[in-house]
Amino acid sequence: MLEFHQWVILLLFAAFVAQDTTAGPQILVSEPLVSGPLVGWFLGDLNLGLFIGIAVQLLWSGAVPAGSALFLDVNIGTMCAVAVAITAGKTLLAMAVSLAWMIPVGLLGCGLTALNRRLGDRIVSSVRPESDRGRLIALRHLSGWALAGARGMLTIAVGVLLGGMVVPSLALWVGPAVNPVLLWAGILGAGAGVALGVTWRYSHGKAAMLGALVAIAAWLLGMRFG
Amino acid sequence: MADQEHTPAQRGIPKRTPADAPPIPRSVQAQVVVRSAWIQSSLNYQGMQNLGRLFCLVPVARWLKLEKSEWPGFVRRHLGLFNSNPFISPLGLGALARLEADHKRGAQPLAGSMIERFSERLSTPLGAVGDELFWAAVRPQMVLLGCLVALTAGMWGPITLVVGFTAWQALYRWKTFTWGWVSGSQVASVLRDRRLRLPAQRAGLVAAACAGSLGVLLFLRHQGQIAGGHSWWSGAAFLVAAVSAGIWVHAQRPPTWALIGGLGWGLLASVGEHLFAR
Repeated sequence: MLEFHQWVILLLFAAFVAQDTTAGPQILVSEPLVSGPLVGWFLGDLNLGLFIGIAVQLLWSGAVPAGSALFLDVNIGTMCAVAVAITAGKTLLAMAVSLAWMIPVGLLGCGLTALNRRLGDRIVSSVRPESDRGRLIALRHLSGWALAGARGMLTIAVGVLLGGMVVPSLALWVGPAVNPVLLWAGILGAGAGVALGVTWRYSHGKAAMLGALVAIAAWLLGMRFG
Repeated sequence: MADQEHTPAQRGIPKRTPADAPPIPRSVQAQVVVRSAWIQSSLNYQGMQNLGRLFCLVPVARWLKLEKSEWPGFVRRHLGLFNSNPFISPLGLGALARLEADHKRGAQPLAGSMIERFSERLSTPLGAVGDELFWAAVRPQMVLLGCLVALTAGMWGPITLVVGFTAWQALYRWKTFTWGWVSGSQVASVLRDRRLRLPAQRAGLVAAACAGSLGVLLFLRHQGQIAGGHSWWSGAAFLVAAVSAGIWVHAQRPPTWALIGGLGWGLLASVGEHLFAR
């Protein structure tokens, strides 16, 4: 269970992550590679957050969060996965199941994003050209930013509360049948495959091959001298 | 011949401020550029970034000292459809600011729907070029570089991602506003210039090299952490998941299914391991 101050930090950070995703300033603090370890750090396990962050980031390395497109809210989903994995016992199995839990949380975030855009329509229609000047225009515009923050808070609250109940039960249920090491082999393999698939068009595998050779050479040198 | 066929306005990215482009104070440019980071705050289905564009151009209106009677016209002109990639939106904002400044100076009268038509025509290329540059090349480059650094140096990975991407976007936001301001109504020529897209190709190559390194490092690390018996099943699950996810995403399918596929291959390997252990 999370303590009160951890909830406060998590909700505030979720608000900023939801805002950074589309509403601004888009400095990519919202990306799983950044938000995952930060949540892990807030909740006492930075390495777990970094591990989940890398896995999700690789899987969504080619996702395009472009303006009008609706997409699975993986940024809040990653925060939720890290928080739930920590509360569910920090095991490899709990982490893998938390990652799967990210999908319904991301869908909830996606639905709330659509609602956010519709509220944006209302904000714009409230503008009065005859009377609105600089400050009022800024206020109306930035109310959309505040709504994005509220969306993030709501998504993480629902995701962590429900995930805290669902994920441990699911892990207990599938635990005897699966080897978590093999589950993670599949997840990390899929992440590596997505990264290669997304960047394939730039050199048809030549640059990737060069990168792979450098990594193998570095690994062999490490084995020989390290 | 080529010079005769191309007017100066069609030469693409301007190298220096032409004599006819009035200077814009750096403080005003800085305000517009900083505000452009929040251009999507009120993103909506009908006008997309219309209110965002108006919000960004308010410092220009203040600099131009619009009369009280001129404000309603200014607000109406910029409430029409506007959609662009947020990172190169200052290109459009610079061009619109220039049109407003020319209008105020009396150099170029603004017909009723001119700004609306200009914005609508600019929206599609601004979005397409920016998405190709930032979402398809620079973001994957910084994200994969960040993952590579994170695998080898921990928290330096996220720091690399945030600092690197912020530097890219700050450079582009500032430069594109200048190009938009200098080009004015001829801003489409900047979008056609291949030099604007060149960094995308280079960033894409770096991203691809990082992806290759990451694939090898993840495989070796995961295999290295496994003691004994799991390694064949683990290696098989990793490789099959990698190939299927790569093909899936290369065919423009959503990555959610890559995660589901990865979990599925891991589950299948678990079942296989149970069966063969007996």
